[in-house]
Amino acid sequence: MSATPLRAVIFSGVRHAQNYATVIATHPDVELIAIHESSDAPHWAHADARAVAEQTGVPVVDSIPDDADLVIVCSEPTRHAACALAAMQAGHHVLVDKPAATTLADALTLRQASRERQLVCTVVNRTLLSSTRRAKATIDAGHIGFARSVDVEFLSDGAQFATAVERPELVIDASLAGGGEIMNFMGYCIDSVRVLTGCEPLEMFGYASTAFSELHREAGAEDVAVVSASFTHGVVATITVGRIPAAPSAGPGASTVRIVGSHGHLFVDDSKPAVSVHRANSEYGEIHAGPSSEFEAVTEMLNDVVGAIRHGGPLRYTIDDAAIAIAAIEATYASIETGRPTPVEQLD
Amino acid sequence: MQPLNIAIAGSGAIAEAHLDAYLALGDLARVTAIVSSDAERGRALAARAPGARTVSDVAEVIGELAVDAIDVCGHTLAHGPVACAALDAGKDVLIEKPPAITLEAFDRIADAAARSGRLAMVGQTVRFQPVIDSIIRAVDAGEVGDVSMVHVSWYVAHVWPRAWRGWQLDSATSGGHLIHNGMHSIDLALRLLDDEPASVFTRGWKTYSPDLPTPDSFHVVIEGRRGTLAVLETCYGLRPPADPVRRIVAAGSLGTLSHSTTTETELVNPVVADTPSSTVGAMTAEIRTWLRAVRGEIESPIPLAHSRLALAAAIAAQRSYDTGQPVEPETNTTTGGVR
Repeated sequence: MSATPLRAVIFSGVRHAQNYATVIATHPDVELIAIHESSDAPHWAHADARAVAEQTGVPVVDSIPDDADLVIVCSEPTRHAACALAAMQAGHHVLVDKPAATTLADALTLRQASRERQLVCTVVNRTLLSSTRRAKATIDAGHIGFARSVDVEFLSDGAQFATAVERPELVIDASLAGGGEIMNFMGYCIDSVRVLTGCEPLEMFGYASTAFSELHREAGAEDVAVVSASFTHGVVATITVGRIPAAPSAGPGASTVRIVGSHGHLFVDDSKPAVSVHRANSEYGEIHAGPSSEFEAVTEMLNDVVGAIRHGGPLRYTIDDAAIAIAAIEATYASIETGRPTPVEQLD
Repeated sequence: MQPLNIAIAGSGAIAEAHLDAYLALGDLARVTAIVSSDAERGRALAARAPGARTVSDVAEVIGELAVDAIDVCGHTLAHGPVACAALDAGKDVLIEKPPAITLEAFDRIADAAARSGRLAMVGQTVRFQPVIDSIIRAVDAGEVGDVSMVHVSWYVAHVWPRAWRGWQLDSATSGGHLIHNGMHSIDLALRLLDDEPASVFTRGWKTYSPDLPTPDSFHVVIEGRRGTLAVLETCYGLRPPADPVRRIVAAGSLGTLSHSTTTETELVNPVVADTPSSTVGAMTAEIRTWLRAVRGEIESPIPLAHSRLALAAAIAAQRSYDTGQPVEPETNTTTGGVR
């Protein structure tokens, strides 16, 4: 007899909630029971919560039910930390949309709450994708020797930006997003380098620009950035991150890594495998094969969360990891502001 | 059409590659002299070019009326004096990249070109690789709109014949690795971005040998004056002796161009070195283009003004590596001499 599914509540339906609800609907061990929104949230956030509830067929609740096993925070980024902290203070395990927080101080508050209350606090990430896991296994097996350099690129396709993102201001309005595309995406890149090399970020230097998007330009938010980073044990990395008109990939974004080691090299492309399409009108395209990377990532996270809550199993990604990524993001923004390489705050 | 008479100044690996290109071009040009301080090597190269002789003093061929143009190879520090003397003597010059290790030396070349009215072109061979030529043409045709971000990841084997014990290691003669090999991707990025470099930051590392006097690998991030961005990684750290890997992404306002050598069949073989389809024939194409420009059939596709920008960025990249700080390239002087 299978165990009763975990009872999950989505806290705020502002961003990615529908995507995560879709994954939950296919997961045998997690059941979505309600949507919740803070009473002091703006009216549009309540409207979003009602919309997600209507689409998923669950009620909107004024408070998180005491018997909820898991709270999934899907608010605007600047409210992630407050929502997650409130859920943990009420005794709930949490899964937070990325970025976990928009300041390092808030991330550390979540980390402390998780430790003190012995609660799961994990954050949406891409380190659990099969492509990354396979690369990590190859490196762990020693096939490339000691990693020396990593070249990470995460470029989202901006063609449908105004419609694909629930609200563009969730990415470009600093009061909601906490920054621009660096805040939005760079955590993925830091995570990649850390999981593949086992090394920690030490120093960041970046240039950012509003090179492509008029919406970003009007809001004063960067749409693209190039970053040079140093990590422990002499590992160096480049990070190319942002939103461009057409990402060079088969999917909605290009997520690739090139890693060179002392005894070999290895490349990772999250959009592969893909199927090439050659049309009679000479158009060429590629179709990503298998589930989307977003679907796979959230499914793997839910697997981890189920194991951790039910059996005390290990989490492969926690708020500790997310806090390090946010520390690196803060250092990157500081370097852009000052024009100088900036050390990353080292966490205990 | 009479073939142009060419003297090649230098007898190293690049000079040999240039000679191969002239020989492949048949009657377009005739190599009449090899200038070499190593008589044995000079003779070996000259023996491959019918009628060519070996000389030890470049002044001898510069002063020779029958020589139409000088192909300046040799170590970088020597490029300037040879190129200037040749230009002042009324010869056109092709200068192997990098053209100089300082902007002052480069400007002397540009001044000499302006004074003489002769053509000076820097041999950025990468521009003539089939895939790079296609990318440049696509960008110039507006296929992807205005390019605002370029990402080049370029990895080659650590095995680099001759160089790891050659003058390339000595920054006094090469300017440093960021100048010597950084020029390739920096020139490409600035060409695609059509922008001037405003700030450059570099990190370098030594993949195998901590005592190597220069990093075998490095990355450079560049901010352009118009807000364009580039991230360029060059790694001479691949362990297999034959397995070049290069990925290029050029993101524009209307779309993105991307290329990766990992789709080329040559890479199936990890041992046997051969030139990938994406890069084959580049030197011959470069020499052919230069010869056509010397004849006045076309404009030089590599104006000195652009070469100065690329060199300024490469020098800034080397300085950034040396200091650990971002460096603003010196791009504020006017370069003349574009024929």
